[in-house]
Amino acid sequence: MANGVLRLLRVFASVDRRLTVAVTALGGSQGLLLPSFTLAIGALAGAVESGASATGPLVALAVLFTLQRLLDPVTTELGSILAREVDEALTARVMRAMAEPPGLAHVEDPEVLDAALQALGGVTGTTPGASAVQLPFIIKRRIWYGSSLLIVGAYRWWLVPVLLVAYGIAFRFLRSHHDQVTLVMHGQTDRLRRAYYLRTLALTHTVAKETRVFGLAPWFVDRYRSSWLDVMRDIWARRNERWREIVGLAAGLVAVEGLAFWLVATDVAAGDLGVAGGVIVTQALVAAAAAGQFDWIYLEPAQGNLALDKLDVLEQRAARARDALAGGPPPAEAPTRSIRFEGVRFTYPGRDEPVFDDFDLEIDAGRSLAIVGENGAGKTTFVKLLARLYDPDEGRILVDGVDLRHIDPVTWRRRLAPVFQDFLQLEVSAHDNVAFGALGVDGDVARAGNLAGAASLIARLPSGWNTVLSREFTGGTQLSGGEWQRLALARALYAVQCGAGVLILDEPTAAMDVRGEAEVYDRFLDLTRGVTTIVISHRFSTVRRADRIVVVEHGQVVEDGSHAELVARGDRYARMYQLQAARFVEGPTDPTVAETSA
Amino acid sequence: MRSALRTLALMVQISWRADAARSVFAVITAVGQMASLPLRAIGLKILTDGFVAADRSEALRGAAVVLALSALHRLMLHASLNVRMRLRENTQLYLDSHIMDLTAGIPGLEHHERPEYLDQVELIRNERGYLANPFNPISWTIASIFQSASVVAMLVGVHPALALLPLFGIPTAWATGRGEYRLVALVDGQAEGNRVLRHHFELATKPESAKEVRIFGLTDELLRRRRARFDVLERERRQLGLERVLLSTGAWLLFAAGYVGALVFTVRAASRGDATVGDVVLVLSIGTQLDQQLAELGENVAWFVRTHRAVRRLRWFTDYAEGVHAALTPAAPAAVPDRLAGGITVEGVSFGYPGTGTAVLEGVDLQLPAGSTVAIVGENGAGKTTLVKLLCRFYEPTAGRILVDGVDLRSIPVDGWRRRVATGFQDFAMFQLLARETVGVGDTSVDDDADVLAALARAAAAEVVDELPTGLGTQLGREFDGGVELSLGQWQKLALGRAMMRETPLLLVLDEPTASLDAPTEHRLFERFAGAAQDAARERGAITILISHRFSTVRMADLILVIAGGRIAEAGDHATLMRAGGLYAELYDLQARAYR
Repeated sequence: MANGVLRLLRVFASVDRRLTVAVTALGGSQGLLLPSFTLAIGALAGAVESGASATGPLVALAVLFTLQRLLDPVTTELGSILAREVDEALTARVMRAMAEPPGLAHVEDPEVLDAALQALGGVTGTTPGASAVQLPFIIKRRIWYGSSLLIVGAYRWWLVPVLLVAYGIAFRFLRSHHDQVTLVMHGQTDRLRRAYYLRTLALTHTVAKETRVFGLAPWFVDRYRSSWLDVMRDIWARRNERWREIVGLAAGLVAVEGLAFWLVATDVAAGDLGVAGGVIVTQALVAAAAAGQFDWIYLEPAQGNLALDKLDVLEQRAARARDALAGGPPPAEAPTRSIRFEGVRFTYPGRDEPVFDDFDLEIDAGRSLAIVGENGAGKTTFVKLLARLYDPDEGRILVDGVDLRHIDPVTWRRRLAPVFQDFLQLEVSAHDNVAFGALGVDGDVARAGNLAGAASLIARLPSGWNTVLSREFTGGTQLSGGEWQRLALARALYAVQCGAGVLILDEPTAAMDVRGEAEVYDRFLDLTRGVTTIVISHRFSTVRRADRIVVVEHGQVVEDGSHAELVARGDRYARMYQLQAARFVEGPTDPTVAETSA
Repeated sequence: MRSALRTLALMVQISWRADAARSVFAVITAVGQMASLPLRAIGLKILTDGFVAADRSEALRGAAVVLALSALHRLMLHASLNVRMRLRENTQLYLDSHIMDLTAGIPGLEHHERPEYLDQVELIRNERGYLANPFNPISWTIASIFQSASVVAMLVGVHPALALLPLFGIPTAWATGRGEYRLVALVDGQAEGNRVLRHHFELATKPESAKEVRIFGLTDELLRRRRARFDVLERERRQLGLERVLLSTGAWLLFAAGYVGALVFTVRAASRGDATVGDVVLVLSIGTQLDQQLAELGENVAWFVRTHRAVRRLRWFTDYAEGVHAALTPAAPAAVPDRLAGGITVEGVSFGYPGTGTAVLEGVDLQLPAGSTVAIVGENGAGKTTLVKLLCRFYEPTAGRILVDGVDLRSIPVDGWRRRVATGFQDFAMFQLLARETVGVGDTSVDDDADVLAALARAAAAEVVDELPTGLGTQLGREFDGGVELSLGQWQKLALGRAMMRETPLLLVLDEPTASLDAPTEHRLFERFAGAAQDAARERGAITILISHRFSTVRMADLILVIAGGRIAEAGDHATLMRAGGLYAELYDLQARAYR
C-alpha cells in the first residue's frame, strides 16, 4: 500500500502541489493528534488513580479533542477540492492522449478505447481523484497505527515486528484479493463497454426516433441486463473466493493480539507495569488492531492506482502513435504543382479486402477534381489518406514531389479545408462552429457564412451568430440537417479564407434543399477559383462543374476526363449521369435526349 | 415529512427489488459492525478495572471480550464490503434498467429535447450512485440508534447527568444537513455546465469526431474551453465549500465544549470517590466514539439528503412518464385497422415545438389517400419532418387532428399504431451491433436470418452484408473489438433494411432515404420501392410518404405536397404542379437546369 499511496501523492502533487501538501499535512497532524490523545488518556487515568491533580491532562485532552474536530471538516473540504482538480487534470490528459496522435488508427483501436475508459475509473466506478478524499485519512490512520505501535514497542520492543508482520500479511492479502477483482473487471472492459453502449442507446436522443418506431426499449433493457450480468457473474465469483483464508487470518490475529494482552495483564497483576501504563498499552493495541483491516477507504485508492496504470498505458500508446506519424514541414504553400497518389495500397485495420490496390492519381494544384463512384468505393478513404489520417500500406502520396510520410501531419492539415459527409455538429455557438475551421486566425466569419449561403439562416437564429446550436442548452436552437451542412461548408470556406489551399467537399449538399444545392453549384466556380478542390458527390449537378472528373471502382480509377468527354465516351459515367438526368426529362425517357441536351 | 417518508419507502422498495436478500444482510452486517465497537468499550472497562484491582483473570476476561469483538469486526467488515459492493451493483442494474425503460419507453420526444428535462434526466443518471445503496443510510441509521442507545445506557451507568452529552451533537447533524441541501441545489444548477464539459470530452475522445478534431487542430481549443468552464463551476463549488466548513466548525466547537464538560464532571466525581478510574476511561472512550458516531451521523444525514433528492427526481421522472403514457392512452381505444380504406386526413393541424414559442405548422389540411405514394417537398426548415413526426406520434398536434380512416389517431394506442409504421430517417441510427441486430431490430419479434436477408433485399442492401467478413455475424462500427466500419452510404442502406423489416406497414415514411446513396443504388431502390408500394397499396391500402430534395424521385409520386411557411402551399401530381407554374415548378426547374 505504501507504494500505492506514494504514487498517488506524486500524481496529485503534479496537479496541485500546494493542495497536496496541505491535505497530506492535515492528515498527518490528525494522525499525530490521536496517539497524543491516547497518552493524555493514560495520564488522566493515572492522575485520577493516584489522586494527583488532573488539570494538566484535562486541558491537554480538551485542546487535542477540539483541534481534531476543527481539522476534520477542513481536511475533507480540501480533499474534495483536490479530488476534483485531479480528476479534471486526468480527464484532460485522457482527452489529449486520445486527440493528439495525428492518425485515426489510434482512436479506432478497441484497446485504446478500453484504456481510456479504465484510466478514468469508468470500469470500477471509482475515479483516481476520488482517493484524494480518502488519502489524508489513510495517512492519519497510518500515523496513528505507527505511533500506537511505538507505544507498544516502548513496552516490549519485539511485539512491534510481530504485530507489523501479522497486520501486514492480513492487509496485503485483502488488498491483493480486491486488486484481482478489479483486474478481472478491467479484463472485461470490451464486454462492459458493449453493455454500456446498449444503455447509452436507450438514453440518447440521436436514435430516439427509431427506438420509438421500432419499440426497442424492452430489447435494449433485456440485452443490457443479460450482457452486463454475463460479465459481472465472473467478477462476483472471484470476489466471493478465499473466505477460508480470511477466517484463518482473523484467527491468527486473535492469537497474536491475545499474546500481547496476556503479557500486559500478567505484568499489571504482578505490579511490573502501573495501571496507567497498562491502560496506555491496551489502548495502543486496540488502535493498532485496525491496521490489519481493508475497507472502503483503501478500496478506492487501490482502484485508483490500477486506473493510473491504464493512463500510463494509454499515454504510451499515444506517444507511439504520435511518433509513427511524424515528419517535417510541408513545402511552402503546398500544393503549388500537384498531389500525386502513386501505387497506393490501403487496407483498414481488421479488414481483409484492400480499399485501394495500386491506386494512381495525380491532382493538379489550383484546379478542381470530382471523384465519382459507388458506395464503399473508397472515396472518403481517399480523403483520409490525403489528410494523413492513415499512411498507405504501400506506395506513396507526393505533395509537390515530397512524400507525405515525411511531412508533419499537423502542419500539413492547416493547408486542408474539408467538409465531411458526417461533418461535426458542435454544440457551441454558430460563430464558433465556423471559426473552428481556422483556430487562432482572426478571419471574417460572416463572409464565409454568406458564401456558404448561411446568411438567412443566421438571421433567423434568436441570438444570431452567438446562438448555441443545440436544443439541449438554454437559449439554444436545433438546426435541420441541411442547415447544419451550410455551416459545415462555411467552416471549410472560412479555412480557405484563412489560408488553406486544398478544399475537400465530401457530399457537400446531400442534406440541402434545392435552393441550397443550386446556390452551391452556381457558385462552385467562385468557391473553388485558385484553390485545389476535390469534390466527392453522387449529385452530378455539382460533379459536372469540376474541371476534371474521375470514376473510381474497386480501388482503381476507371475513367478520367471532363464532363463533356466522359458523357461522350458513353461508358460508366455517362450511364450514371443519364440515370439521374433522364428523370428530369419530360415525356418518355430517352437517354440520348439527356445526352444531347447536356 | 410525508414526502420524506415516501422517499424512504421508495428507497427501501428500490433496494428490495434490486436484491432483497443482500438488502437484509447489509443491515445485519452494518449493525454487527457498529455494535461491536461500543461493546468493546465494555471489554476495555473490565480490563481496566482488572488492572486497578490487580486481578489478572478479570483483566484477561476483559481482553477476551475485546479480542472476540475485534475478530468479529474484521470478518463483518469483509463481508459487508462484499455485500455492499454487490448490492450497489445490483441496484445500479435495476435502476439503469428502470431509467432506460422510462427514457426509451416514453412515446414522445419532448424529454430528449428540452434543457430543463435533460437536466433532470442527466442528474438522475449521475445520481444512480446515491440511489444504488438506499439501505446504506438506513442500515447505518439503525446501527447508530442501537449504538447511541448503548452509549447513553453506559453514560447513565456512570451518572444520569451525562446522558445530556449526546444532545451537544445535534447541531452538527443540523449543520451537515443544511450544508448538504445547499450542495444539492448547486449541483442542480450546474447540470448544464456539466453537460458542456462532457460534450468537450466526447469530441476529443470519440472516433466519430476524430477526423475533424485532427484536421482543424481542435485539441487545445477543446481543452482550453473545458478548463474555462470547469473553473467557473469550481469557483461556485469552492465558495459553497467554505461556507460549509465554517458552519460545521461552529457546530463541532459546541460538541467539544460538551465533551470537555462531561470529562471534568466525571474526573471530579472520581476524585470525590463517586466514580472509578474505569468510569473515567469509559467516558473518555465513549466520548471519542460518540465523536465518531456524530461524524458518521453527519455523513448519513448528508447521504440521506442526497438520496432523498435523487429519489424525488426519479419519482418525478416516473410520474412524468406515467403522465405521458396516460395522456396518450385513449379512454376508448380504437383498433388499428388491418388495411386502410380511405386514408389519412390531416385536419387544421398546427404545431410548435414545446418551449420554442414559434409555430412550425399552421392549420395544415391534407388528405393522404389509401394506397398512394405521397412526396413532400419544401425548403430546409419548412416543416416536412415535423409533419412526419406528428404522423409517427412523436408529438401531438397543438391544434387540429389527424384521422386514420375517419378514426382520430389519438384514440388509437401509440404502440399498436407504431407497429404498423415503418420509417427510414435522414438522421438514421448507426447501431454498433452485429449486422444481424443492426438490421433485425426493425422487428424484434423476428429471430431468423432469412427474414433479415429478405428485408435487406427489399432495401437493395444485400451486397453490404455480402461484403462483410462474417456476414450477418459481423460486429459493425469501430467502437468494439473486431468491429468493421462502414461508409455512410452503407450505413444508410442498412437503416433502410431495418425499415423494411416490417412486412405489413400501413404507413411507410422515407425521410431523405437516399441522401448518402450513389446514383445506381438510388435508381434501383426507387424502382423497388415503387413496386413494393404498389403491392402494399393493393394488399392493404398502405401509404408511402417520401421526403426528398431530389425531384427526379419526387416526380414519380401520385401526390406531391409542397410545404412552405408552415402550410401546404401546393398539392397535386407532377404534371399538375408543373402546369400550375408555382413554387414546385420553380424548384424543379432549378434542379433540372443542372442536367441540361
